Formats: sequence, C-alpha cells, structure tokens
Amino acid sequence: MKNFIKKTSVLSSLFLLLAMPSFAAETYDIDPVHSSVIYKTQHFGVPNFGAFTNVSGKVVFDDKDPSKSSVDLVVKTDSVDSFNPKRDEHLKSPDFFNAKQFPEITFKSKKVKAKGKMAFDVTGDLTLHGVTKEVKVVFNRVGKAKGMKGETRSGGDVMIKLKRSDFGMKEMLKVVADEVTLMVGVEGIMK
Amino acid sequence: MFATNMIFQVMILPIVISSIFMFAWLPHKKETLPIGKGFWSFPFSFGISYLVVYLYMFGIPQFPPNESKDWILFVALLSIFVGLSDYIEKKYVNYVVKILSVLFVQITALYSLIKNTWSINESVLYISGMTIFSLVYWILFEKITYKTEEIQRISPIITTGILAGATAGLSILSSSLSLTQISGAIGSVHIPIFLVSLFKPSFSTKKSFSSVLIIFFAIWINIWFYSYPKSSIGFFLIILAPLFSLISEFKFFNKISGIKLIILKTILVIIPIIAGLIMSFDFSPKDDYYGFNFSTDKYIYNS
Repeated sequence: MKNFIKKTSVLSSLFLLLAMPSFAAETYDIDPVHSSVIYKTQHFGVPNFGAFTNVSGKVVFDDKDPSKSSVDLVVKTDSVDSFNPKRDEHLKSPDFFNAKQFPEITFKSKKVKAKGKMAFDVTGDLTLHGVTKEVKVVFNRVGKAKGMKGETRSGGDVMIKLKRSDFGMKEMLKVVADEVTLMVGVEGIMK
Repeated sequence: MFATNMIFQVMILPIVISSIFMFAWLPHKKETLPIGKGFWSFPFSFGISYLVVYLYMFGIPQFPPNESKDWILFVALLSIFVGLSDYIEKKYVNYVVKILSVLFVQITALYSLIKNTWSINESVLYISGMTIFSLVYWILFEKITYKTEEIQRISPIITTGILAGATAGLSILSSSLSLTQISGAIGSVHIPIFLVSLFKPSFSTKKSFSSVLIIFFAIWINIWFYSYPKSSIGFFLIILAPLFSLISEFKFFNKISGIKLIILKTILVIIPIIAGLIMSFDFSPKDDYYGFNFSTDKYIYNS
C-alpha cells in the first residue's frame, strides 16, 4: 500500500510537471511568412503606405510573471516594399534607410509590464538607421491557436509613431513627412 | 519650392562662395611666389564652399558621423590641406599626404562595412587594393592637371567640371539624390574657377586639383558601396573618363595645339562619360515614381 501511494504521488508529480508549461514562459519564433511591418508616411502631405516583408525574431510570453516576457524583433531594411521598385531602391539608398550600411532595424525589449489581460507596456531599444533610442509601446497579444502541423501559434501587434529625423533620416523632409507610423504584426511558432 | 531650393543649394550657394575666394586673390598683384599667384584660393574656395553647402544641405552631423556620406564634410576640410600640401616641393611629403588622405577617405567611408560585414582579410584586400588604385589614378590625374601652357590651363578645369556633372548623373541613376547634390555642387564651384583662369592667365591652378580629387574619391566610394549603380562598366567608364584625355599626348596628336587640343581633350573625356551614363541608365519600363502613369488613363475594359 505504501509503495502504491509512493508510485501514485510520483506519477501525479510528473503529471503536474507536464501540465506546468501552460503557466511557464512560452517562447515563440517569429514566422516571417506571417509577419510584417507596415509603414505610413506622407508624400507632399498625401498618405503613402509601404511595408517591410522580412521580419524575424523571438517573443516570450510569461503569463505567470509578465515582467519576464520579452520581444526581440529584426527587420531586414532591404525588404522595404513601397509597391514601386524604383522607389524601393531610393528608400534603400543613403537618402533614406541606407540599407547597405544599416541592414537591420531592431527592437529589443528591456522592460515588460502587463496592461490588462492581453496587453503589455513594453519599453525597449529601437535601432533604426544606426541610431538607438528607447521607446515605449503597447504590445497587444491577439490570440493563440493550433497550426496545420499541430504547432502552437500566437502573436500580437504594435503601433509605433516616430520622427525619422530623430534617427538621423533627415533627407527630403519637405517632400516626405518626418512623422512615420509603423504597424507591426507578428505571428510566432512556439518552440 | 523644392526645385528652387535645390538650385540654390547646388548652384547659387557654391558659385557665390567660391567666387568670393577666387576673386579674393586679385588684389594681391605683388604676390611673387614661385608656386603661382593665388595658389591658396582654389583649395580654399573649393573646401570652404563645400563645407558651407554641405552644412546648408544636411546640417551639422554628429561626431563621429553616423553615416558614411556625412564624412564627406570632413573630407572637404581635409581637401583644403591636401590642395595646399601639393605646393610643398618634396615628393615624399606629397606621397605621404596622398596615402594618408586616401586611407582616411576609405576608412571613414567604409567603417560600417569593415566593422559589420567584411572579414579582416576582405577589409585588408579592399583597402589595400583601393589604395593602390587611388594612388595610380592620382598620379595619372596629375599628368592631366600639371599643365603650364597658358591656354591649356583651362583644360583640367573643364575636365573636372564635366566629371562633377557626370558623377551627379551617376548618383541620380544610382538612386541617391543627396550624393547628386554633393556632386553637382562640385561642378558649380568650377564656374568661378574657370572664369578666373580664362581671363587671368597669371592665375595658377595647376596643383590644386588634388583637393577636388579627394572629394571625388569619397563620393565614388559612397556611390559604389551604398547606392545602386546599374552597371559596373558604366561606373568605371565615368570615373576613369579624365584619364582618357591622356590619349591626346600620343604622337599622332602632336600637331594639334591651342583651342583645338582643348576641344580634343574634352571630346576624349565626354565619350566614355556618355557611354558610362547610357550603361548606367535604367532602361526598365517607366513607372509613375517621378510623375503620373498616363497609360492608366484608358479603361482596362471595353464594354
């Protein structure tokens, strides 16, 4: 009987351990195919949109302790797509993103604080055009589901408003607006 | 408004500033330096014009600059000393200045690639290869500019002026408007230099072209490594174009002199430039980036 209880308690402990991951941190590798960054700017005052199509990185969600969550994003600068190849080339040139000199736009979170059940205040370093600035954004977690291969998928979105001149992008400010809005949508696959 | 501002930045401002320096030497009638009257005015007019134009266009960059093209401002400052140092009649000094200034231009322009992209071997290979290329180019370039015959003095000014225009063309075809402005300003600075040389035979510019060349080196590196030149052959035809004028020194052309020789040299420079610009032109179908796509005026359906 004593043996039986011992075995049962070991098994139940193991069961509990297996059940634990739903409370522990979940690490997601960002799926570049289902993630993108949309930008909005103005050309002579008229709204213009475009996107960065190569987004990668890692998102960690810790439901138990949100401060242990983190967001690491890497956007390849030369993946800028303004729906016009010639404009893309100009955007990649030293006039704007200078993609050969600064091939990546990165965001690394430093501090995460829960803001409701599915939203987080994320403070982190945004590096754009070789200039790093601390920014504070709201990361909205938007769901969790099983993928086609049974993998767990989750993600979120972020909206960032910035002045490109703050990051040293000061060319053609009379033509292309200083203020740029970035809409980031990331979908990750749980490791 | 934008076009007016561009004309002011690229043409009026550099012409005015360089004119001030170019004409400043005129009162010094008694100047009897063996190196030529007003020897300082070319490097100064060139370098200072550049500094002012650059600051007007892009503002004061941080130090050290974040972007490689921002180093061109400091290259402009260096160009004054390089231009003046050419008058030191000691060959080893000239070579040391050449090597150090070429290394400065390359390391500042390529720092981010050396730091983040290239391996040590690649960096050494690129820097040493480009240093040799630049020095050979510089020595050949001096063969063009060290002309003492009176009327031939204006030939190198025409050559470098055309080269500035061609570099501006190459920049715009490589999708960089800022480098186009910087290159265009070099051409504008040449206008007062040309006028003074034309009407004042005593004015000597024969050695000052080093200051122009060092800025060209910085711009070319920025176009090649950070912009999007469409054709490598086109790029090299344009930057090597001034050296084509050396063909005029072949025996075959010995009988040609004076204005005819200047015209011949100009043609020899223009031909590779036109070929280079044609090669660098993007012949892909036009789109509406710089205007409207009028083909969309028609409806795509007929019913």
